Amino acid sequence: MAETETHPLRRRLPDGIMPEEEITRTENRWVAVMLGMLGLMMVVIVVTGITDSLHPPSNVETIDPTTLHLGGEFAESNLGTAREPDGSVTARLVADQYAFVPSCTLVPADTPVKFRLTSTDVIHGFLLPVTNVNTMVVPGYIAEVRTTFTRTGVYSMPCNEFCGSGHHGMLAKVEVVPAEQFPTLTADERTSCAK
Amino acid sequence: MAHDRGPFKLSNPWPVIGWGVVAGALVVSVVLGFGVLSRFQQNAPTLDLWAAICRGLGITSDTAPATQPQPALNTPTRIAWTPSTLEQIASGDAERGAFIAMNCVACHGQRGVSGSDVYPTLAGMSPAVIYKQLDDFRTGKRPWGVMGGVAKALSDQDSADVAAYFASQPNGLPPVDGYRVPEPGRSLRETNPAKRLAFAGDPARGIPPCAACHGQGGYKIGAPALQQQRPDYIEAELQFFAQGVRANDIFGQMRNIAKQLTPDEMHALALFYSESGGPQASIR
Repeated sequence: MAETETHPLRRRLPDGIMPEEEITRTENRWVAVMLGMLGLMMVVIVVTGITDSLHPPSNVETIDPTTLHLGGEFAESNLGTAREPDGSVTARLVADQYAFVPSCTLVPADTPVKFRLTSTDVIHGFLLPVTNVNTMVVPGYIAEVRTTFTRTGVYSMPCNEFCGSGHHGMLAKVEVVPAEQFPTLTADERTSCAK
Repeated sequence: MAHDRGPFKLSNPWPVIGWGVVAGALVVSVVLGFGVLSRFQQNAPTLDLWAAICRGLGITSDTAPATQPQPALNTPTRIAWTPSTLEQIASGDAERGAFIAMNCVACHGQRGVSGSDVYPTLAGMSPAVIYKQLDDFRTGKRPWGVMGGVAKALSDQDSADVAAYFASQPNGLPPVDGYRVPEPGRSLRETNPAKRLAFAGDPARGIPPCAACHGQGGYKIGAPALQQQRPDYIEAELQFFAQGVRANDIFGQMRNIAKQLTPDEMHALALFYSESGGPQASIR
């Protein structure tokens, strides 16, 4: 090989069936398309993340999943929606095989809402479409999601994470009512729309 | 010529470019993920950089358990399935339990196989179920006059012993396990409403299939076997759950379901379970 040593990027390779330059051009075009798609997806993620607070909720609070019903924040009597002193509301739910408790959560529209959820057994999922509420409910941890509902109505959806053979019968219901129709609650009262 | 295109040749710039792109993407992702995306919270002030990094990593100091006043505590039961409870149940001595069970056979039948419609069959029932129900009778969480009196006379160890005795008795309820029997008609297309509820549930009403907890095909600790149970007993308990007379189910699992069932469905389910033999069907 009596070829002069040139930089590999500039070196001319012998022509094959398809000219090397043609292959390189095609590859470059595909790389550009791929990078463009990646960039677009990144932009979508960042823009929705900032404007709609759509991002994985990260809240690490631990709790013993076996004794939830014996007392504390997730005792049966403390579940449901509570009014906070600042006018916002906090909705506490427990997900277990195979139900969300309370089976129907009542929240006011145009009011800051904080969901706090935990599981007694396996991983469940809680997602309300067209809102930023989407979280896994992991046993041993408390999931927390904050949102404000702008439209009234009933959100109805099955558990969002496969949780066992009764998974398809596990229905979460959240009813959003106009703020003035939401019951007046004292600090130690809880409400829900469960039957 | 191909030999100088190897990935470790310094004269080949592509590996450097490749690694550079990967490293660059990593840096951009870290900056975006921790420095930008973690900062914006709905209904909460935007976090500073350090708090945002901590939140992105899941180390949060900005949330805390609620300190607001709570309603009066109302617990469905005293039992929780903690390791110590499970050990207590497992320590049950069936031979000792046989003596205690002499108090039970007048109503629950010889060896726990009930011959009456009012009293449930106990033979073959999971010891965890019997242990929990005895504790609930004792503490009044499941109010039932006669059983309340009987259970108050038993210690925790007595309960575990008698539970072990009944669990080991033959010719009663077939054991509950996760074994799924492949059989047609266990779907939402099933026309027999009781069978459909038992094996497929009713998703539109938020009713999971009975079998997901009570077997066959699914199992949850504390859920009793239902196959070959007395039909009148099953129907009565479903009604008690629906009315809230019985409320010793953890997080209202049965109350929530029973409230949705019509009286006809309760009746059909009770008959379905009392008649369904299952693969371990035994002759009574």
